[in-house]
Amino acid sequence: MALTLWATAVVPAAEPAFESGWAYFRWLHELLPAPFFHTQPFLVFFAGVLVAYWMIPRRWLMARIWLLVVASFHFYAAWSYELAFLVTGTTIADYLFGRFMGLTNRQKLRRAILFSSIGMNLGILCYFKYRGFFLNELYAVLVKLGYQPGFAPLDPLSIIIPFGISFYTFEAISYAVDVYTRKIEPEKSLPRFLLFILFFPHLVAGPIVRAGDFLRQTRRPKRWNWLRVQVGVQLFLIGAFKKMAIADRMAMFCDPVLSNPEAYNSVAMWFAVLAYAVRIYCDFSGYSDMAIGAAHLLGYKLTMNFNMPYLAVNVSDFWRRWHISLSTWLRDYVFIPLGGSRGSRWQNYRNLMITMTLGGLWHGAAWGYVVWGIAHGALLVIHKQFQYYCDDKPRLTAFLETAGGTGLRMFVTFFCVSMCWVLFQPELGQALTVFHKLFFIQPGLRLELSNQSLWATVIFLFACQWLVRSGLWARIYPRLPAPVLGGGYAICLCTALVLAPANSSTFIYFQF
Amino acid sequence: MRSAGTTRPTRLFRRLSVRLRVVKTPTTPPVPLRPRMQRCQAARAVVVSFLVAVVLLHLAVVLMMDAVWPRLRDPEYGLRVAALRQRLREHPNRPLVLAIGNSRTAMGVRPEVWEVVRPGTERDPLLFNMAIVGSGPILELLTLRRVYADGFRPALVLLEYWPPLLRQDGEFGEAARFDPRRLRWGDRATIRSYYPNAAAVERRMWLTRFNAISDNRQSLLIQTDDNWFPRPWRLNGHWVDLDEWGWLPGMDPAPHDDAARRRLIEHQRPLALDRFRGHTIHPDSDRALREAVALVRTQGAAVALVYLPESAEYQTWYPPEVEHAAREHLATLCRELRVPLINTRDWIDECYLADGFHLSRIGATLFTARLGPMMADLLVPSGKRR
Repeated sequence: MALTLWATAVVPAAEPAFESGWAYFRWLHELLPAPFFHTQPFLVFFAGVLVAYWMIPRRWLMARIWLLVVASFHFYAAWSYELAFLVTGTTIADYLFGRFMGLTNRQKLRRAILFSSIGMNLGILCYFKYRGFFLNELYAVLVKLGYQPGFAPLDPLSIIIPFGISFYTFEAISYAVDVYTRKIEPEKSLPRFLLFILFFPHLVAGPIVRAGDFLRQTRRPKRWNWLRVQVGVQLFLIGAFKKMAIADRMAMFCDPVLSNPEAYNSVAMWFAVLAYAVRIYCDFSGYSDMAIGAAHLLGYKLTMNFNMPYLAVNVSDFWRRWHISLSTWLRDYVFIPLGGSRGSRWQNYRNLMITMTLGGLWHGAAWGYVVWGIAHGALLVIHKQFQYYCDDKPRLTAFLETAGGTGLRMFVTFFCVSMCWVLFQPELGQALTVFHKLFFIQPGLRLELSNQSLWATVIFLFACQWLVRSGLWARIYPRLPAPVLGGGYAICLCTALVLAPANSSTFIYFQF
Repeated sequence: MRSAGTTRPTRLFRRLSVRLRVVKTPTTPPVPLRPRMQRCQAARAVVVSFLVAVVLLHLAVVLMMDAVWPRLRDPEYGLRVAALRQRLREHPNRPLVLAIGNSRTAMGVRPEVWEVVRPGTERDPLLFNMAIVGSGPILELLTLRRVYADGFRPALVLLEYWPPLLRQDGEFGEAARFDPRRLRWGDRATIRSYYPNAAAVERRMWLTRFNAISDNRQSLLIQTDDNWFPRPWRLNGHWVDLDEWGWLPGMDPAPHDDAARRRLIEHQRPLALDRFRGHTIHPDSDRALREAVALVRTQGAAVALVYLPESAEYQTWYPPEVEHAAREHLATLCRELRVPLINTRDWIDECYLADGFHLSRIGATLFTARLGPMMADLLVPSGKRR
């Protein structure tokens, strides 16, 4: 009942990119106004797809694939049919590039096709996402140098960015590169390839799937599996809890403060930074968990995207646990081709800085994201340097490996990452104001909310993660009787329903 | 930190051992896997029990809100009912007088003051404030029906009469002011008779029960702990400060603080003028008032209409035709229904009216001290009346 009915929550509808001229798509937009997994319309849509999918006999594998392709197209088209056609068109082009690459053994031609594919994908990405940023920066530089630019600056808010563009662009690029390096065979089936890019659970905000992992799964006949259903339901519920009960609640702490940092005092600012760190994690990992859970229910396994990142003991460890699908993508397609850890120490540092800066730019076309990437690159370099320093300090190393030392490293990592989150916004000036408020005691407004619920949430979150990390949960979980586990899921859902604010906010990573 | 990378074997060994200690998994033996069939059955049992538990939890919440603890559904009314039961337990022999109206009554009638100034006999009326913020005649009737359904038998009912709320068109209608999630099953008779969109409201009532947890989450959470909401989001202003006599402490500008009152009045002025523009007394308002009076009388109780104080400035905001129509209507009601009117419109100096039509806390004290004896008079049989 609640699964299909919970969210009468007023979720701000994602405005369609263009006014759909076709009545069918307008109707579709009314049915599914926002592509968010925790909304009632999505759950109704998903329930419909799920029932139809499993009602198709197992031997009609292609029918099931087509059903998911059509459903995914409609999922996107409900928001904007023009952009849905664009995504479908580029996906078909990527499919053809892959096929052409498979048809020839001439290295130069293969390389030309690879660059065409990458160029097309990055071109579209740059046009939609980075055009405004680069043109406005160019405009500012020309004006500063005393030239007449000859074009007007673009209003960043007027630029429409197809949702999920950064995610599916990276998926398409990884496919082209993998086909070029002969890591995988080019996909011969168009519907399978369309499903690889358009599969709606990962279309909006990842995880970034690899063709090798996903396309293989499309060939396996799927059968209803209760184990898988349980995993899917569990992940979906955990994700919904993180999003509705934690992330949206933390937004009530941090949004008013971070959007108007001048007005608040330093204590409120520290609380807001803590709340934002919790929020962004629960928001994105909650979404990923729901995506993975939804995919499980359809018989697909998506890659894990988060692994308790705030329990990381250093920044390298953090990036092995945070947005794993992106960090491994950057590692495989940027860092390693640049030389990786081979070569001198300085080359290694240079590669890290380039990779992280690109990672920052991937998140958004603004200096704030670039500086965030640079800051993380710098933290990785500092960590590497510290490792070298520790090599000759056995007692220091031994101390850092103790429980106290591990706790200290976790705290320092969490602190550094949280400070970096301040930069994670388009307005760099605003970030500097936040830093000023954080490190120089300033008067101003206090938080409107009692800190009690913030502390309760933070402690609950870390306690849960510690339970998992310590292995205690792995021991308890299999011994729990089914009704207890099922009741626990129900309590988790109902708690999320009660704690969800009336005005649920959008997903942060939706904009990327 | 860093993995092995030094040349000395002892250090390497120590590092490795330390590293292994950190990354090692718990020492307890893993739970042996059951056969696949059993695991599938267990998984199915988990999913099924989850679905059953969700349904049961929803049913439990519906049951709790509609039967066991109705104040969860409508805390403003429910808290007053709980307080009234307590007062009746403390004063079992005194005749009950209920003041029913909107926020003006809620903030203006302060029974605690009557308890201080009353003569002190066993038969002094027991005044209780049963007003609901936003009530016009339809919601007054709804409250009255709830009161009788909950087993209260007042000896006298004071019904507020206030012309601005006799309008029922569009956004000025009472249906638009009252959250359908607060409605009880017993309210359906009133809804069907008076709500213009009764079917939609009834559907909403079903939905709020079907989707009980999510739809009522704010109310449930705010009644558990309002610290979970920022101050502007705490929609509990209508009931969180209720005293044990049902009085809602209102705005409290000091009598000499003209600037504060002026701010409040200026805030209200456009709203009031908007309400008076195109104002007509809706037939449903008239019908509801008549039905309320008839209901009280069939229950064997006395009833009176009360016109609460308004500042002189506020009275000037009434367009002449509205003023005239309201006077006519009130006179007709009193004449036809033979119902007494307690017209207190000019009783209170305007420095005790916070925004021109809501009594301040001191104003409520003064007003109730004066209202009490009149109310007591109404309870005396007509032959003995002073």
